[in-house]
Amino acid sequence: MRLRKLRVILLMLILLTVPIFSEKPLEVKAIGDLQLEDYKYDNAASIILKFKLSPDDFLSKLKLSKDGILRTSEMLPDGNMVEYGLLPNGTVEIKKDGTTKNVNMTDLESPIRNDLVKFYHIYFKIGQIKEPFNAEEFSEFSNISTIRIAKNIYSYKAKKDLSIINKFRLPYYKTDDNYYYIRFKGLDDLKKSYIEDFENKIKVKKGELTFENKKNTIKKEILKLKEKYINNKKKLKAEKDQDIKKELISLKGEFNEEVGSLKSKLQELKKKKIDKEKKNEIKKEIILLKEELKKAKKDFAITFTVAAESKEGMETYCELFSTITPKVEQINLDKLWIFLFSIGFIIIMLLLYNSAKKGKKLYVRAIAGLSAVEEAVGRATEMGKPVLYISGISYITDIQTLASINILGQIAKKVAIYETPLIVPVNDPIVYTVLREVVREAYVDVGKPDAYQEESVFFLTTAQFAYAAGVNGIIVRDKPSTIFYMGSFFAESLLMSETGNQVGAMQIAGTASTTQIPFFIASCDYTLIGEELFAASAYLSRDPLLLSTIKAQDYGKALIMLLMILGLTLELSGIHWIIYILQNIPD
Amino acid sequence: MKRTIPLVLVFTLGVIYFFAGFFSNSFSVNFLQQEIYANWLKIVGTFAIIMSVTSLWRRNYIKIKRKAPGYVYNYIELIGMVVMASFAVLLPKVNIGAGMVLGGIEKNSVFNWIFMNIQVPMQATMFSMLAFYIASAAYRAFRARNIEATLLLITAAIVMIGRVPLGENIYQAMSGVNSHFLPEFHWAGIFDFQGITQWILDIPNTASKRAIVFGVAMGGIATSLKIVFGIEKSWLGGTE
Amino acid sequence: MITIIGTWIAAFFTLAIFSFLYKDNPFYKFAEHLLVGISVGYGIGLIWHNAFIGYVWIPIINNHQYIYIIPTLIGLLYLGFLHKKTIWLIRIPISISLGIGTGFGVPLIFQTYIFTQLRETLTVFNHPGMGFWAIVSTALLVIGVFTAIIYFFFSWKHKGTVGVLAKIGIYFLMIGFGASFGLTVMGRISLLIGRFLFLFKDWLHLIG
Repeated sequence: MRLRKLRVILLMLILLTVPIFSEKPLEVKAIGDLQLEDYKYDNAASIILKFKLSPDDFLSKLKLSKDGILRTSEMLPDGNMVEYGLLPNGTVEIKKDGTTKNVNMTDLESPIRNDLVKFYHIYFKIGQIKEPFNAEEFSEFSNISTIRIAKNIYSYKAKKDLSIINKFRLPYYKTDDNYYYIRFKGLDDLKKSYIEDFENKIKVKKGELTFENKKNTIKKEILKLKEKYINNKKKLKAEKDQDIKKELISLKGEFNEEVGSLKSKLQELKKKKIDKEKKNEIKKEIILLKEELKKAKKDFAITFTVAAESKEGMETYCELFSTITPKVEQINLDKLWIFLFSIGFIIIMLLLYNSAKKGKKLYVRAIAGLSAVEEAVGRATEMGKPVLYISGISYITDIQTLASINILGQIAKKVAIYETPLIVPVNDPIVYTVLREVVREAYVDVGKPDAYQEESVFFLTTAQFAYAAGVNGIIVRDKPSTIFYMGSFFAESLLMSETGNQVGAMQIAGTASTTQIPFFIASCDYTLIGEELFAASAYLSRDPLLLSTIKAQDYGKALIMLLMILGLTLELSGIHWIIYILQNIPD
Repeated sequence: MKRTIPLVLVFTLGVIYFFAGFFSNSFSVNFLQQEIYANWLKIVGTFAIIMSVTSLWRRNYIKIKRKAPGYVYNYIELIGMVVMASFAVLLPKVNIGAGMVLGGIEKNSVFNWIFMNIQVPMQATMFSMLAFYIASAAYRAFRARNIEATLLLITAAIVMIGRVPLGENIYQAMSGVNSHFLPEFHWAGIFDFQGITQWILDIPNTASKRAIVFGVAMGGIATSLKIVFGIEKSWLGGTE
Repeated sequence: MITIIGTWIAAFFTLAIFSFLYKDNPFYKFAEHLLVGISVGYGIGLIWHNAFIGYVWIPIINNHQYIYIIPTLIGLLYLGFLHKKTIWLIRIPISISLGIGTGFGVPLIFQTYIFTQLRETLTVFNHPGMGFWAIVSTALLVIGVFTAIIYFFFSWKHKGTVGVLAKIGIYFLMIGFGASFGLTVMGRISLLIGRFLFLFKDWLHLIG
């Protein structure tokens, strides 16, 4: 109960912090034939600029630069868009019609023209990729047809994809208009360096003022020395030593020397001393700078250039200088629909959850792969051979891994009832600790804590193919009669499932990694496809509370289908407002 | 206490980060999304290596102690780990001739040499063995006499031919083919493997991928929400 | 010299792994266990130098960014793993990663999966000058998406009309999987050729 109250309070607090939306206009100073028609803030870090060119047919390339540093994206007139800066450092090998071109990605003036699109997505994927790289993960993006990856060389051939330009067309446009759109990224980085500049200036100014502080510290040091000298003198006199005079003389000499050097330092500082007026001036300057910094933190101005090149080469070009003062939006209104949908889905889910709590019965159809789990465990018990559970090779934050953890919780209970041996080699250390507890708990749950064996769940290795090698070893040596593959898989999936098939194990797989599903289908007895993986734990547990979330998933899909029917009908009858909304949602 | 703290943390952070995506102010973008999401989580994750090392050590130690069958190989596993780790962490970076450095993980270090000459070739070989496994998997799908498996295999075969020069050659050889039966029909078109492949990729393949994505998205959202709202608690491990 | 030794070792391990295709044998066992051990050791080396030194040691000790002590302390809670009584402490770093990951993920999934895909699906007919065949194909695409989604409905029994539609949906899914399968084959064969090239060219110098 307390937990629920706490949640409500937290929710309220967070909602109260929602700031008010505001946006500042864009100042534009245009020179030449390139005219800025419109602009739009995409999110905190980017702005989309819309241009009109006249005449438009002389143009072959649009370039965007900021003080020669920033040239992150390039919209080609034929509808393709090239985004630079987002690629990792390295060489990109582009193959086209049998010829190979190497493009250094740090070299922003690359000769990439019409063949490449969507670097951004490629970069996005690289962040998640495991080592060695999985080429096929890239091919999921439909506009990239072939990719070969070796070390740092990525090579791909991309199809022209006109849908990309569509995303930037704010209202619904015909394909033959003369507008060009550019997304200007990295506003946040620019702002950072801009603010850092200010902070450095303030630091320098403050340094000029430190004279005062230095003087004071020197004075303090002299006082300290005096105290020390007097103390030592007293000590010496108290001891009544024979050589007291000699000692006293040397002591005084030392003291004078030290004080002298400090005093000369003070004199030097005095020479440099600036009068009060100047000091006040500096103080005023600092105050001004601080005010500016405060402003800069809110909004800042940048000037950028858009240059258009002629098809013939560098002969004709025009430039546009615009000063923009972007005031970053507090709330991303483009994401309003996402927000509404998410909240709607959450409400549906919680409502269904509550009605299940009240005891309403919910029907869920039979899922072949999951109905076979009982049989699979029973088979292992009969044969007296172990059950092997592979939880995928992803991290704990991967939703597939989370689904897999939930599934093992259910399977381990069934295994524990029959006291069938269970082997769970894990790929990720954190997942390993969680699974260990999950299995231990399952044994406790069914009242057989003594049957649990500590070493049944263990960490193998995080390296993808080393893991596959290890699992293959386990399969051929321990000859499990049943193998489960649940979670996120990459190229290693078939290595394991084929070996499992060869030793005659009954295999049930489940993954949402679309590139691996066909291999599981070919080598396993049952395969849970995509969403079935996420429904599995609720299905196996038969817990009505968990089953209610499956219902929520169905409602979500029904909503998607309704939207599709409505959208297509409207589109075909020439009404484009749904598309208008969807196109304003950023990728 | 042992369960409440993690559950409250998951809920609080879940709600905060749910909203963070909709805000584009500096606190959300620079602190929540950049500093914590990118930097802090990386640091937190670093320490998980402790568990991997202890688990590997414990598992091999138990097998060796029990003298389980094949326990000699457990020695090899431990030696492999200890040797690699000590080259990287313990040994000093001194020159040992032949342009190599004893410690560290630089390009000319012993650590990297072992990686390049033992781990990389073995992993690449594992990866390349998939060629054999794909063949046997395809053979099995061929033997399974149901419509689903047949569809899968036929599509796979067409796409495969359409992706290699052979497909183009067949099309060219057949381009002269004509028939008295339905003379206006472009007979060679059925051998245009490249064209058919492209169609398969554009139409049924796209349809199937899209449907899967919708389903996976719904499942993923539901799984995430179950965890944030504490409906699904199995990630906690125990009930204690 | 060091390169030649390296090539011979690499060749030995390549053959040892390949020997598994025949059957499990001592060479494979040796290679497999060594690979597991080395890969964990490699992970330790990388994490020590790239993650620990790079993200923890240098920022805190050298750059005095003491704020990073907080995530370091949270990460150290993983040490609770070492004792039965403190094992619950690891739930704290896990719950932090999970909360952040799942909370951030929900709108992101809506955005990148649902809305993007919806937009692409709704605009399929928006290409001027589509011929008859193109319209039929596009209609097929829409039918494929619909029927395949119906296959994933869990509240409906696969019987009657729903059963037929779900069946059509699964056929579309299978064709999609077949395409993935076919696309992967060439990549895998070229990998195998790459390994053979290593053996015959770099190691045995049989081909030039």
